[in-house]
Amino acid sequence: MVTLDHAGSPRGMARSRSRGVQRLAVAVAALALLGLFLAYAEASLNGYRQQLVTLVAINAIIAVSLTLTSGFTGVFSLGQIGFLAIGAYTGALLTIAPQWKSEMFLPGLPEWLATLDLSAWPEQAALLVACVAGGGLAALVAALVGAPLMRLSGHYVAVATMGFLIIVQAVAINWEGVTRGARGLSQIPGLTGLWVAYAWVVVTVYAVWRLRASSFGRAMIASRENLIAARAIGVDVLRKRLLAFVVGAFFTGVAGSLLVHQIGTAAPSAFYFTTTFNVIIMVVLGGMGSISGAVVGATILTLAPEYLRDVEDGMDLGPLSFGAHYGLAQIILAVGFILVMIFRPQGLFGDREVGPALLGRFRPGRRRPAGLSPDATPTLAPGVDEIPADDRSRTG
Amino acid sequence: MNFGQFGQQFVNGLSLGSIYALVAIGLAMIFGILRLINFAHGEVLMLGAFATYFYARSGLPFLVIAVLAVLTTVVIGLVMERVAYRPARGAPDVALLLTSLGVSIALQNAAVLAFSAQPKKFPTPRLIEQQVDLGAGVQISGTNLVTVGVALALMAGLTLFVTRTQLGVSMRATAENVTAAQLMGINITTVIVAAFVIGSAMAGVAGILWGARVGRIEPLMGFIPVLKAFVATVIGGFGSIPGAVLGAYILGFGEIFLVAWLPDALTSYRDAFVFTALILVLLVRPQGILGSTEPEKI
Amino acid sequence: MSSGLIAETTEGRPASTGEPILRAAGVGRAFRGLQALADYDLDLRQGEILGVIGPNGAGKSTLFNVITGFLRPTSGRIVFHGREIAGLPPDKITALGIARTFQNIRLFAGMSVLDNVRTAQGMRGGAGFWETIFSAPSFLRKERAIEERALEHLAALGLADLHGVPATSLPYGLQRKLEIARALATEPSVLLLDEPAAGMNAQETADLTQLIRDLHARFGLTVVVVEHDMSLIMRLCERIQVLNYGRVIASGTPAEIRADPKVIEAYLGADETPDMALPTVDGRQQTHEESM
Repeated sequence: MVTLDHAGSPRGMARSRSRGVQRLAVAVAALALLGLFLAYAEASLNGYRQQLVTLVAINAIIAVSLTLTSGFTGVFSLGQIGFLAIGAYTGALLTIAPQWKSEMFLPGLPEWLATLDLSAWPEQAALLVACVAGGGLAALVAALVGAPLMRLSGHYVAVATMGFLIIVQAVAINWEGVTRGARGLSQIPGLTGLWVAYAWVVVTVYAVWRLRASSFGRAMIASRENLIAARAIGVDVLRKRLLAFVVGAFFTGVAGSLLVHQIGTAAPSAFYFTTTFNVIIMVVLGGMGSISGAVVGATILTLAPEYLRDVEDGMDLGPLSFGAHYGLAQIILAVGFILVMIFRPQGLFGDREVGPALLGRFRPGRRRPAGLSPDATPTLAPGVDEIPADDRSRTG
Repeated sequence: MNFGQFGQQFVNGLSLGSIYALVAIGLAMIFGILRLINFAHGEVLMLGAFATYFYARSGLPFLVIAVLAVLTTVVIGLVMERVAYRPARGAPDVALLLTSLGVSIALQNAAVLAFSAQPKKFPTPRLIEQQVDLGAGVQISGTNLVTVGVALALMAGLTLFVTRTQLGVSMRATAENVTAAQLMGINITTVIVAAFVIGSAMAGVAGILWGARVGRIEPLMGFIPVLKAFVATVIGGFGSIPGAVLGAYILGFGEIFLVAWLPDALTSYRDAFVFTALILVLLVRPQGILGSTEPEKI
Repeated sequence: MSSGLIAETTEGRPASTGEPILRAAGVGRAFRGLQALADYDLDLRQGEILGVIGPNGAGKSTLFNVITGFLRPTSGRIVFHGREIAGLPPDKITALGIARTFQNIRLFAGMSVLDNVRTAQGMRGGAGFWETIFSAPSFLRKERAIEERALEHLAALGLADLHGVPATSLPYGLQRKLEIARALATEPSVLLLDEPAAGMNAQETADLTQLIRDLHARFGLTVVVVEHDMSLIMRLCERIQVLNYGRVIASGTPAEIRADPKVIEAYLGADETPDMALPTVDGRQQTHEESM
């Protein structure tokens, strides 16, 4: 695996009341900060920038899902974006107004779906249905596809999940009666706003974090670190991987639904290798096993192209077209990514989490439970002195 | 399907399989030694086609142009190995895989930037564009004939190389067991460089043949062949060169006959069928499956 | 199968109750025609400590792998607590109460000492999915119980003070102990130790022998130990099986085995006498970071 760091885990479940209260306070404070930021963004950022901030949230959901699916278990999935597509199309078909559905000519839709009209519903209720349905269908497909695929390891699973992505893409392009083929669906109502997007980020991060901090998460990491030992201690590797795959697919499906309800269209080209690669960079950059790393990675990768574009404009590269600009930004990102792979393959954070205090003592590898000698480390036998300096700096 | 059509489809499958095989050989070679799935291999193919396109403006004979283009891809392969893969050597498999994805995306976009995304007409020599009549109603294109011939010649050459030369034998030994090869005094770096040289040259040739087959070239053209070659290596067994070639021909024939026999409504799902087959192969083959059939020592 | 329960009933002097707990009959395993294990019979009695010795390649590790489900036997039956287990996957067999350690240490490299054990501990009494997602009070209670129990197991191996350090930073001998702690955390009734003294000097081996004896008594375990170190085997085991070329060539008490000419011959034939059979002799590398 990419990450070599010590797997963090939330230690000492509410060992004392004060700690529980402290954690709650930290969580409330973090949510309040997020709320303040969103209120600020809503009030003072222009529409384009608000969209960008929303996109950060959507990418963060996908990246955190992939952290669960691949980062924890070491099962490297190249098919995550297939679930994004499933959630996107499912959500879109639920909320597009019936007159538009008939206008776009989608003969493959069942009668109830063709005439389904959620426009009378409160907007957020309609979006919730679209998200849950999109995520649910993605999870269902993940369960069916994952049951055989999660038996594979290493390169094989990467290849097989990539095959899944290609199959989804082929269906999206060719199932014209439902997906409208390469032209894609349009007239998807713009239901996704800042607040709902970040609400889903909070839900996703919370769920994945809970899993990570439990027997489930430890078993997943164990199977990543040493498959044979994990099986020897009784880990049902297939089930744990499948759980990670299905839950990851659910949230990615939700993100797909959020995405199309932000941009208003769903076309196959948005759900292919470029997106796959971008999401992988987000996760790998942040550190394959780090939830907060995935969020940071998603933020950087969503905003960076914008700034790169600005830089290009500022440098006035003359005859280059907009498309060329985009290419340059991608090149810079790709080269940056290669450098990260060469010089810091564990990513920015490895398995660790950002700001343990902020996230409720998430990464206390060296912290001791109450009642144990706090200075145990110095009494260690010689071997401990041989922890590489690098290792120490990462665990501190 | 009458005999003539069958013959045409057969040669067509043979030709497609030959191109896949040339690409797959490079993939398998590099995988066997480095445990790296080199996604950027498709970009080497693409650059080979573009090199041909630009050199053709010089008006030199096509054969000279082709040789120059292949030399160009060899240089590209060497640079790729030196700049991206050598520093990452020893990193986990997945890190290497991701590095190659990065190289692939960087080269694709560089090509878009340099050549524009607009497809260009490939300068196929008129000579090989003609149809050849084999009699019995079998008409095949010169391109297909040349493709098959070139591929078979290269594969024969490769076979001689890996069985008769010191370096070739070293390469096979390294693919078998890197540690053992190192202990026997084989210079791994030399072997890896050789794999990139040979693989890139074959990809360059494949790029020219693909250009001639499709008629147009564009910066993203390497993606599909490399993906298919990749499926071929999986079908044949990761890292095994004969396996990769076998897989490539199975895939080439499979694809051509699938299209010929499928109802029209389903032919556009061709890739979906190919990859479903791939997944099935992966599931049935024991190597990838967790469990006791793994030859791993516990 | 809680070892705690058994511990209560067998507290004090560990003695075989004589009741068979693990039985193997005619078990064999072939690799491409090579018979790594053949006609293997076992009647493991509740509470005993069985030693399995034999030259390198005699089939000892194969035996462990077959019992724990990592290898499917090609013939024969294995019955544990009256239940056929041959062919079950390793995690199911562990869940039934057979735990093992590995010849070359296999720790979860990225984890702390405590998390290594806690992961194993969580295989029993871990919270369910929805409990976990919603951090239900029952989840917190179960997590706390898991942690406490894991710390107990660490303490039993003298590792409690080191619970926060990265597992791989432990010195070699302690890594071996951590593996034993982790195996105990699965709450087994039968513990299989694969060369626990490998790489240890005489003093460490003696300490380990005592430690295994203590654990055996305290947790009411039935133990099977594969080992090259005769001092450990002779001091620890009530009964010894000798394997050679995949077959049991001798079986009996330490005294009987010592006197058995077939055993001496087997070892001499392998150019390796029992007394000299220190683990370092076989030149096996003790890499514990060997990954999948």
